Amino acid sequence: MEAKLAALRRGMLEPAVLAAVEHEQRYAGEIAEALRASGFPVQDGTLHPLISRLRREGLVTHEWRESPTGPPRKYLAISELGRQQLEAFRTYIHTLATTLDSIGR
Amino acid sequence: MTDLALAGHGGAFPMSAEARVLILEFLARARTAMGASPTGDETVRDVEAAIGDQLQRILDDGGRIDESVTTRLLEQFGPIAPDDVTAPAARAPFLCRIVEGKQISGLCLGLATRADVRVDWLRSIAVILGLFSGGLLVVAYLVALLFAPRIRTTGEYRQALEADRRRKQR
Repeated sequence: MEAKLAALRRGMLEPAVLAAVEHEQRYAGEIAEALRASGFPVQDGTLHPLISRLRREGLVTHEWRESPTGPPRKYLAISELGRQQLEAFRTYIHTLATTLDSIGR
Repeated sequence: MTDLALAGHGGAFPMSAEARVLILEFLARARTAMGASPTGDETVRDVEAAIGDQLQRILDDGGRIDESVTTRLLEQFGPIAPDDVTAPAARAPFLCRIVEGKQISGLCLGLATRADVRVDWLRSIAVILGLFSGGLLVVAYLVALLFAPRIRTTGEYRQALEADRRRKQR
């Protein structure tokens, strides 16, 4: 069963990443932590290629910021286009959830 | 003990020789996996920096970077999987000109890569056939130059071929 749930989550990863940078800027490591903290296990190895695609598609923007402990980090923020897509994702996911509840009745 | 410098990080990280090999192999696999993506190099640099962050944390906690620590770290990090939605690797053209390592146009190098034969043999055969076919092959060669797209490296072409093969299997 866990494998099936993982498959469901895979499709949710993109909106989840967008949501993680919706209200505050975060760098990749923080996004991974934020997702894990909300019960959304993700591996860095999966996250980095996804983030680089989101940047390429213009859904997130980045800015370099100095860090007190390490090298400068790429902080990501959602773009206007990203916001629209996140909104669309949210609406659709809600539709799917209601469908799942109502489809057999 | 040896050390390894990682993208973005100033100093080098002290680590055991085994750990160094593990990380370098991991990054090499990441590079291959991301090869077809237009932002592949940048992604691998980000991955390098992120691994550096985690190594730094281990060192800050007074730990050492040895084989078992590195194995665990890389396992948790997870292999770099190209993002399927966008990295539909480019289709491999039948003929192409490979820029890196070319002699004249890179056409022979492309063919040799596709057929998986040694490029110097293929070039020699092409020259011999060119001489004996009364220039016919030379004309064909020139015509092919008009159509064959350029590809940067043999690695990229090989990846596209591999992706095509996988698509066919599906």
